[in-house]
Amino acid sequence: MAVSGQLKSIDMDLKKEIEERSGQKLSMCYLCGKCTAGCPVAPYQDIPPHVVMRLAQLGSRALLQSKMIWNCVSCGTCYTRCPNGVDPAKVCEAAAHISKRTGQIASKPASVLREGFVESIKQNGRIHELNLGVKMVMSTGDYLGNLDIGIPMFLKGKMPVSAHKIKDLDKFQKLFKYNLKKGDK
Amino acid sequence: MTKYAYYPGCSLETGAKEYDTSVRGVFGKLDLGLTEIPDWSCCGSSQAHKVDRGMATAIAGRNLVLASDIGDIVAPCASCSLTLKEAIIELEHEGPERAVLKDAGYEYLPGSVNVVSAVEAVYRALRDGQFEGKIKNPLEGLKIASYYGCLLVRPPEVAKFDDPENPTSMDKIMEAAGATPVNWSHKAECCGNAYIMVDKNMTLSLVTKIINAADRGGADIIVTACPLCQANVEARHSLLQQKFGLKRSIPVVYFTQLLGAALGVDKGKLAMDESVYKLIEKARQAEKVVG
Repeated sequence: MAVSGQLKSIDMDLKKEIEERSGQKLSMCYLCGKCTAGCPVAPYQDIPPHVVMRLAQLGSRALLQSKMIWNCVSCGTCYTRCPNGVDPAKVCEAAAHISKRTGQIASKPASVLREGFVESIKQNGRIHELNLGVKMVMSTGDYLGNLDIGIPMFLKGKMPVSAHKIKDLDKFQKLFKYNLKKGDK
Repeated sequence: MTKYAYYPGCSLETGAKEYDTSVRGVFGKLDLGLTEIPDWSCCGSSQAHKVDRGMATAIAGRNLVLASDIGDIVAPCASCSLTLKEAIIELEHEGPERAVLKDAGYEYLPGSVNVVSAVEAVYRALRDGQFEGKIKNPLEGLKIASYYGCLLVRPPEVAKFDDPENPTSMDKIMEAAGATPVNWSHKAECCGNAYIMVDKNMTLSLVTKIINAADRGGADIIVTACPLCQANVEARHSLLQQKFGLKRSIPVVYFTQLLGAALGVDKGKLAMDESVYKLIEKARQAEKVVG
């Protein structure tokens, strides 16, 4: 992600949408960096969480091209340590939603993981690991890299070929209603 | 006798079968009743809320409604217990998620159900004196790193259990089983969860840091209470040694497997590698020599 030039892309509607969707008051963040200090994944991403917060405060559209907003693992460390009760993970989540809509997904595998997961439970009522695993392998292109785990699991009967379908699947599928919240689009 | 509504969750039916059977074994020995929630569905885990928060609340909520006339839910998987707890917080207020549930035939009644993790349920039993006289094979001399990971204790407003930075409940459970919990730095650090499928190098680096921290603490074994923590931290130790700087391979089991061994649960139910029993015996012998 090119962080330079980010200030050219200010969009106050973006800021407002992130605030509404995440439920976070962005101005509460004074950029102390405690979130970044504790974030386990920040060293492996393009920008750390306090920069996510700053770009969100500015309404910078550059945020939507960031890998970090997709690869936050929701471990809760940032929010737990934030002196002002702000949750950067929710800001990442909201920004990722918007970046999907604008077609700027910077981490395709993270997007496939969440969408594929929900698709799998909607189909069966429970997750079907083999099906999700195959989707993930296709999206990362790492065709052989997970066989060292996958094959022993399969042989131990820990990765069933067929999915377990719940009985009340019809009723369960009625629960998949989106954008129920104020501010969701 | 305490009776719980049992929510195994998807992993305990597949990749974490030994967590399921060892939980059942341990709860049996501690006289804690488990009635499986009929036709339970996936809680949505760490992914559904990333797609849509309202939908995630509704799908988790179905399980709350199905459990409400059984009793408090025990969900051994850290991600399931946190997700279900979060759904309760959302559903306590009148809102569109409750209406979606009702339209599908699942009426949520506020205050009708609570959720605890398996660690919480066992810790309560310990606090209430239910361990007394039940530790048949104390794990003497065994040095244990209790690995909590993220979601058992974070975020604190949702988990409402133990300390989010330095949790000690599992250490106390292990101590009561006769073992010696070690002090170590990474007990509540993240293993990278399902992102093992997104960015393997990142997750394997995180896992290496965790095991090396347990090594520095002098642990013989690591115990977990989360299927993803277990799967990530247990796997690929030779690769981690070759490429990621892992110092020493340390076995990783569910806390219910080791506790089960101390309580005298059948080996079949614990599904623990024979090498772990040898490790327990070796620690016991060493302790005798020292003692």
